[in-house]
Amino acid sequence: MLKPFDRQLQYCAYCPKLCRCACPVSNAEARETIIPQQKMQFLHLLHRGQLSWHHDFTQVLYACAACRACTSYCKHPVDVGPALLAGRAAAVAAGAGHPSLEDFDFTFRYRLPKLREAARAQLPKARFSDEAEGAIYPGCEAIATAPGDVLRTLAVLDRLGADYLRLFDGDELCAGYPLWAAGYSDAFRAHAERVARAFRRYRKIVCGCPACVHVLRRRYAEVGVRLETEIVDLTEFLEGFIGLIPVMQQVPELFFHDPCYLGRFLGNFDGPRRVLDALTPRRYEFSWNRGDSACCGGGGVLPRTAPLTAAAMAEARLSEVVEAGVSLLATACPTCKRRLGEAAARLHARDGGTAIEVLGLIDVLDRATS
Amino acid sequence: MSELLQRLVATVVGPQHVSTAAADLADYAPAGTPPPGDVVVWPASAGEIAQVLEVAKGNGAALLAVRRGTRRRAVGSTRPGSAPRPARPTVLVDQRRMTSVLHLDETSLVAHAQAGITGRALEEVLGRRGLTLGYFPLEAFALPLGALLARRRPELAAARVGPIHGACLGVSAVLADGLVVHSRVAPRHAAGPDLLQLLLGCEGGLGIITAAVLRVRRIPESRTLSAFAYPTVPGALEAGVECLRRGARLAALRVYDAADAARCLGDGGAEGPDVPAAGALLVCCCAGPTELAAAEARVLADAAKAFGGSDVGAAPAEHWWRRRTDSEEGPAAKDPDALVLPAPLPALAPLHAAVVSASTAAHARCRVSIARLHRGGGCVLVTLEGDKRSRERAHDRILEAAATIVGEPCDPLREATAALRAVLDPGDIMSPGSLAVAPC
Amino acid sequence: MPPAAKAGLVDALAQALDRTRISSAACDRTAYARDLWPRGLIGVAHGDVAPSPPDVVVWPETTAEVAAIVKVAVARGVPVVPFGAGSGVTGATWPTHGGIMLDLKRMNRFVALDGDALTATFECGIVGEHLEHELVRRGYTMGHFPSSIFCSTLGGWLAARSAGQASTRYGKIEDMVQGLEVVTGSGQVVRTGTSTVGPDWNQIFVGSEGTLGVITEATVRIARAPEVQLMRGWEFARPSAGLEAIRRLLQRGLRPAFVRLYDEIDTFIAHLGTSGPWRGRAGRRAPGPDGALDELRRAALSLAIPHVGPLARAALGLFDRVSRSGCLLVLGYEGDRALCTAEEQVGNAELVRAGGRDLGPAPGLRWLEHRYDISYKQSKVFHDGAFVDTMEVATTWEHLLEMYEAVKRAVGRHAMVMAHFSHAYPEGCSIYFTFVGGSSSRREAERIYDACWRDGLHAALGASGTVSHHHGIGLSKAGFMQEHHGELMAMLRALKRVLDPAGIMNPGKLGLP
Repeated sequence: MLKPFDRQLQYCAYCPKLCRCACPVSNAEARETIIPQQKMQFLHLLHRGQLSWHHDFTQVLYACAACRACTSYCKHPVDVGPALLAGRAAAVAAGAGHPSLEDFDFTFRYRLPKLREAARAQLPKARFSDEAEGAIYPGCEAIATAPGDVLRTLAVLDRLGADYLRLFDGDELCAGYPLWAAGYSDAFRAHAERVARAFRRYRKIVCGCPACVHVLRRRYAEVGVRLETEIVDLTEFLEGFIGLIPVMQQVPELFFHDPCYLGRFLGNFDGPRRVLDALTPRRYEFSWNRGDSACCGGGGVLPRTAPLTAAAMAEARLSEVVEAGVSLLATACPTCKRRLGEAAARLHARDGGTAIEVLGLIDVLDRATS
Repeated sequence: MSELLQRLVATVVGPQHVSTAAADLADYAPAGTPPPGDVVVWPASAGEIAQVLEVAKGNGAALLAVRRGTRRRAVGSTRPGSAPRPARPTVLVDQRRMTSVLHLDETSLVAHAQAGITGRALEEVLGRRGLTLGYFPLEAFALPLGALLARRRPELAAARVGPIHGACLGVSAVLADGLVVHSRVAPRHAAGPDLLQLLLGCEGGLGIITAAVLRVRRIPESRTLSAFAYPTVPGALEAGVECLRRGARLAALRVYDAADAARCLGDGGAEGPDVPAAGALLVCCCAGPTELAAAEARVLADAAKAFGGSDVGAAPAEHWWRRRTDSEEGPAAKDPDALVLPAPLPALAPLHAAVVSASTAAHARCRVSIARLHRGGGCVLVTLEGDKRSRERAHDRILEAAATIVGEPCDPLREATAALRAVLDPGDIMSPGSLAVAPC
Repeated sequence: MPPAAKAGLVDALAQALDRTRISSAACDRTAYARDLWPRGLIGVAHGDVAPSPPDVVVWPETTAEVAAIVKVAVARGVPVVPFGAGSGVTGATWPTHGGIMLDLKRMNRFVALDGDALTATFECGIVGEHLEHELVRRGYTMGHFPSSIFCSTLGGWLAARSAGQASTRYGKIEDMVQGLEVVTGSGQVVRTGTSTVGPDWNQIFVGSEGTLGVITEATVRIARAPEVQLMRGWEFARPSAGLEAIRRLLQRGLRPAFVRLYDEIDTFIAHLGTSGPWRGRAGRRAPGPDGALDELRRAALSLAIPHVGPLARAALGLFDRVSRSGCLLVLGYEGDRALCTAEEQVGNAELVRAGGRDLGPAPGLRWLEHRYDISYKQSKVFHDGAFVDTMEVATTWEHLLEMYEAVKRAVGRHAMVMAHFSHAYPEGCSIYFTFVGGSSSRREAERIYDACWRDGLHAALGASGTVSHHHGIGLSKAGFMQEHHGELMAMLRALKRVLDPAGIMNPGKLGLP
C-alpha cells in the first residue's frame, strides 16, 4: 500500500524540514511532531517496521488537512497529503486508525440515504432528474449543512440561462472524499464504483465542491474506477459566463480565499478571481494567497480528528480580513465557506468588531444579479 | 606598605617605571582631590601587568588602570557617586609606555596596537599609509585605546561605524587571576557568546585591556560636502535621518540651530561663508568612491528638499569640515557650560525640544546642534549662555529633562555583572568599585 | 534523567502552564529527540531516529510561563532545552541529559514595528519565513535570509549567531539585535537594551545556544523593502582572483547585499542549479537540468565512497573538466535605486579591473531564484547512502587563502570537498565548505564524518580561522571551544555559573558542563 511512496518517505526523513512553515496544522499547534517532515518520518518508520502500528504513533498521520501547502515548498516529487492518507489506510488496515473515525465506513454508508432524504425534502422536486445531459452535483457539505446555497445555485444558473442543468438524483450524493481522507480504502473503492454507475446516467456533471472534483478525477482512477462522465467544477463552469453575467449591482469590496482543492489540487487560481472581478469593484488578496494560501482547516477530516486545531486554522485565516476591516470574504468551496463562516461567527462573538460574512462564489453572483 | 609594594613591583617593571612620588600620583586625580592610589607603575607589556597583579594580590593591594589627565565624567556614560577609595593599598597601572603598533594588516585593514597608544598617535601611523580609524569626534582620539575601550561611549560615534567600540575586533587583556587572554580575531564568529564584549566596557573590572585589534579604513578618495537650510531643527534632523533610513552611508552629518550655525560657521570673517538666516542648517559629508559619493549626495539632496530644505551651497559645509578636522567643534571638552547628550535616533527630536524648553524655563540661552549621527543614534550638543546662575540652573534642568527621555545609564543585569565580578575576581582586586551601577 | 526526578515532573509543570501544553507522549518525545545535525542523519539512515529523547515537551505561550517552567526545573534539578524549529546542524537542541524540551513556537507574535527607528519586535518562536512575510507586507525587510529561513526561528537565529545571504549589507543577526527579553537560568526575566554601562548583554545572550537562558523576545533592526535588486554574475579564473576582487570592492566602501564566490566544483553545481519539478509555486518554477547534476552527484559519491568504485574513473575525468571551468561570483545590490545603481557602476569597474568577466545579470537572477535550493539536495545524498555536511569558518583576508587550502586539504583526505565564499566583510570573509562522504557501515560513516570535522577544524583554527561563522557550536564543535577561545573560556564558564547557577540550561553544549 505504501510501496509507491517509498522514495518520498525517505526524502522527507532526511529533509531539513523545508516545508514546515507552510503547514497550517503544525503552525496552529506549534508542535514539531506534526510538521510534514516528521509526519512523513513517522510513516517511514511505521512502514519500515521500526515503529509498531499503534495509535501512539499513527495519531500523527491524522494531523494533516491534505491541503498540499507543503508541496508548494517542495522541490522533490513529494506529495505529503496523499502519502499520509495512504498511511491512514495502512493504519486502518492494521487496526490502528483514529479513534474518532472508528466504524467510519459504516456511518458513511448509513448517512447516504439520509442525505438523499434531506435533498428531496429541501430542494425543488421538479429539478431532480435521474437522467440528463448535464446535472448539478452540489456535494454533501452543501446538502447537509446549507441547502439554501443549493437553491441559490439553481437560481443563479437560471439567471445565467443554464436552467438546463438538472439536480443529480441518487443515493450517491457524496463522492467519497471523507472515506479517502479517513483511510477507508476498501469502502472508498466500493463507493467509487457505485458513484461511477450512478454517474453513467449523465453526460456531464457540474460539481459544487472542488474536493469532489479532485476525488472524481484523480482518486477514482487511482483505485481503478473509470468515469465516463465529464466532470466540471462549478467555478470552471461559471467562468464560461464571464461577460454574459447580467450584473444588476456591484458587490462591496471583499477578500478572496483560495480553496486548497480548487487551487493547489485543480490548479485553478485565476478562474474565481476573474469571476469576482466582474462583480466587485475591489478584491483584496490575502498576503498568503494562491499556491501559498492557508487552509481553512476543513480538509483531511481534520474537523473530526482535531476539531480545536481545525477551528484555530480557520480563525487564523481570518486575521488579515479583521485587520483590514473588510466585512466580506468570498471563497469557492462549500467546506471553506462553512468553516470560515463558523470561525467568523466565533470571532465576532468573542471579540466584537466587524462581523465578517463569508460567501461562496454563487452567493456573490446571486447578490450581483438579483 | 607602599614602599614594600614599590620595591616589589620594581622587580617586575624596573625601578625607573615605578613611582610613589606625590607629583606623579597627582597626575591621576582631578586637581584638589587625593590621588586614587599609592604606587603608580608604567609597565611595558601585558606580561608585566600580570606580574604586577600577582605582587599586588600577594600584598592585599588593589589594581587600578589609569591614564594621565583629569578623570572627567562624561555625561551619559557614567553614574553619580563613584566608589570610595578602598582602605587598602592601590597600585595604579598606566600603560603610557605601551604604545606600539604591533601589526598593521593592510590586506584585511585591521590594526593591532597596544592599549597605551592614543587614537591620535595611531591615526598618525595610519595616515601615513592612507588609512584612518574613521570620522570619529576628535575627542575620541585624545584617549589611549585602553581607556577608549574600557567604557562604552555612545557619544564617540562616527556615521558609518556607530560608537567607536564597534570598530574593535579583538583585545588582549589581563584577568584577575593573572591570565593574559587574547580574543580570537575574525570578522564574525558563531562560537558562543561574544566574550570580547565582556572586556569592552568593563571599566577594568573584569580585566585590563592591554592591546586591541581595530578595523581601519582607507581614507576616502573623494568627498562631497553640502548644506541645506530649514525652518526648524526637527525638520533638518528628519531630513538627515531620512537619508540614513534610505541606506545612504553618509560619512558625517550635523544639524545646527540658527544660533550655533551663526557662531560656528558665520564667524570666519573673510574666509567664513554667509550663513543663511534660517531656523536650522543641515551639513553633510558624503565620502568614498567618487561616483558613489556623488550618488549619495544626490540622495541627500532629494531627501533634503522633500523635507522642505533649500540648498545653500557647499560653502557652509566646507567651513564646517575645516573646523571639524582642525579641532573638534561644538562644546569644548572642558567647558562646564557644554553638554553632550547621546540618544537613540527617535529620541533626538524630543530631546532637542526638551533642552530648548528647559533652558528657556531657566532663563538661559543655549546654542544647540545635533551631531555624530549614525543608524543607531546621535548626540545633542548644547552650549549654554547667559549669566552664571541661570546657566547652572539650565544645566541641571537639561540633565533632568534628558534623563526622563533617554533614561539614566543603568545595567539591566546589574546583579549578574556584580556576581560575574565576584566569580572572576573574588578578591575584588581589579578596579574595585567599578561596574557598580544602578539597576534599570 | 533518573526516574525519581521524573516522577511528578508533569504535575509540577502543570502548576506553570496548562496540561494540554505538556506532553510526555512517545511520538512527541521521538520528534524532539534530534535536530538536523548530519551526524544524527547518519543514525536516521540506520534506523536510529531518536538518539536522545526528552522526558517532557512543553509549549509555553508567555514569558511568565517560561519563567515558571525554568523555576520548576531549577527546583527539581531538571535540564531545560530551549527549542525553536529544530533545524540546527550542530546538535545544539539534542536533549542529551533528558529533561524538559521547551518549544517556543507558540510565542510567535509580532509585537511592534517602529518605522522611524527602523526596528521591529517579535516573540522569538516566530518562524523566519513568517517573520519576513509580516515585514514585507508592511513595506519592510529584515534583510536576514539564511538558507534555513523556511525552517528556523528568530530565537534559533539569535541563539546560534545566524547569518543570512545578504549579510554583507544587513549584517549577521548579532549586528541587527537591539534588545532582548531573556529568562535566565534562575528563572528571572531580564530585558537587555541599548544601555551603555556594564557588559553588552545583547552580545552575551546572542550565541549562548540556550546555555545561559531562554531568549523570549527580541527587537531587531529592519530596513525598508528594497526598491531594486541588481544581480550579476562574474567569472574568475581562480578563487584567489575572485577573492581579491571582493576584498577591493568592499574596502572601497561598497556594500553589495549578496556576495558569493564559488570554487570550481561548487561553481559547476551552482551553474546547474536546481533539480526536480517544483510544483505549484506560481512564478517561481524553473526546474534545472537534472542529468548533469546527477552525473556529478554520482561521481562525487563514487569518489567519496570507495565501494561505488566503478564510476571513479569517469568521476576523475569529470572533475578535471570541472576544475578548468573557472569560478562563479554572484554579486547583487539591493536597496535605494539611485544608490544601488551608483554602487553597481563603481563595483563593476572594480571587478573588471580585478580580471573578472562580466556574465551579465542572468546568473545572478538565476541564483536569486534558486537561493534556497541547496538544502533540498541533502535528501538525495542521504538517500543514495552518503552523508553531506557543511563547515563554515571565517578569518581575515590576510589568512583566508591559507585557511581555504588547509581545510580543503584536511577534509579532502576523508571526503569530497568543495567550497564557496560568502558573508564577506571589509576585514575578512567566511568560507562555506561542503563535504560528501560515506560508508555502508554506520560506524565507519561516523568515523569518517568525525575525522572530517576534527581535521577540518584543526586546520581552520591553525590558519587563524574561527570554529564557526554562523551555524553555532552545539555538540558538534563543543570540543573545539577551548581551542577557539583559549583562556577566555574562563569567562564563559563564569557567565554560566552566574546566569545558570543550577546548571540546568541546555547542559553539555558550547563546551560547558
